[in-house]
Amino acid sequence: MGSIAEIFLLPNGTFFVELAVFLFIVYAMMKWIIPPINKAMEERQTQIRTSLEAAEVARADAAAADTERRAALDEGRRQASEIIAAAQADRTVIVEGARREAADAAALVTARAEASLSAERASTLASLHREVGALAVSLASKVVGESLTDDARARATVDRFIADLEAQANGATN
Amino acid sequence: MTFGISGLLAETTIDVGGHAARMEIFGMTINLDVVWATLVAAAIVLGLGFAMRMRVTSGVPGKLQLFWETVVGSVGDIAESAIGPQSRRFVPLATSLFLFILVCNWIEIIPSGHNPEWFPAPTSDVNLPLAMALTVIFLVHWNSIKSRGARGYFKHYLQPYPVMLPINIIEEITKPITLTFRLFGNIFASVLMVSVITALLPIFLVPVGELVWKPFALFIGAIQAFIFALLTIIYLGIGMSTDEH
Repeated sequence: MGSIAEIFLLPNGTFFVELAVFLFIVYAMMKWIIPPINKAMEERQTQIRTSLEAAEVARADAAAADTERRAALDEGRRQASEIIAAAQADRTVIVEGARREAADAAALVTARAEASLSAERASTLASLHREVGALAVSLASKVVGESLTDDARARATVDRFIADLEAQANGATN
Repeated sequence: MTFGISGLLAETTIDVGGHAARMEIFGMTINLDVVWATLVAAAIVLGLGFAMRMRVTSGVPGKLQLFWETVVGSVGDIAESAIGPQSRRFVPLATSLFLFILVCNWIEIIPSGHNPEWFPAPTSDVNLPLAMALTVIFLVHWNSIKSRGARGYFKHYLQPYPVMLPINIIEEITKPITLTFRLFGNIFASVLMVSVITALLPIFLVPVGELVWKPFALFIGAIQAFIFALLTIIYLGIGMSTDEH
């Protein structure tokens, strides 16, 4: 412990050098180092905020699109149900129509067949009258040995015979 | 007996407050070892700062930028909670204080093998803590006057009662002194402990003692840097507060 200058608890000329160095560091920080960091951090925060907002918009768009899709789906389902119901109604009408047409056609065919059968029957009967009468008269003429040329009487006999046959046939059918 | 023990010791004397190199300019003593250690610490801090500035990006930050962003962000948060919306302009000051003091405190971890050290912690010399403390206290009073007005500034010395005037004046005077000597005392004691370990332990046990002490010294260095920056912010916050007591 000598002079006051040697007491280490007291400042000396070093103070001014240290002060200058420290002030330069603060100036450098203020001027060149801290601003770029703050700028970078603010830009990043802005980017994050923008991204979050974009994500929020995209989420809202997606929700709107989903709602629209569901609405379109519901509308499609409703239209499909209507089409199916209309088709079922049309099918019933068509089936009924077809059934009715088929029944009409069947009735027509049956009527035609019956008419044809009646005509054939009438034709057959006429032929029978003609042929059976002639045959019977001829046969009877051979049996009795005389000519049964009295056509009126012969025809009456044949007709009676045929009527009897028909009566018997009807009685057998009933 | 005494001679035998001293033969085993790395150092037989403890040099308190000594300097490896000194010079005189205009009748003032300059501690050259402290000056160049300070310049090295300043170069480290500014080098890290400019290295970060060269590759700063608003995209994905690198490790160095992440370190700076963490420090600046934390200091900014503390300042905002203590000072309020005006805190932004004090972030460079508080960040400078924290990082510069931290590097200055940690410089002592590098041993030069010389006694006194060629690279002492600049904060273990009273000049740097005093320079920083006086700067801080000047800014506290300057901003206090700007914020409260001259009338409000002088009025606060009479708060909460006029009888408190002497105590308030003493409080303001002690602020730079406590700020200086808290930092200086802790780091000086930390450096002194290395001398004590060197002087008291046999030479083969000195590395063990230093291995135990140095991590603790690093911890003290970090805590003191944080406390200095924090107190700066708190003093500024109190000085600029316009709330009535």
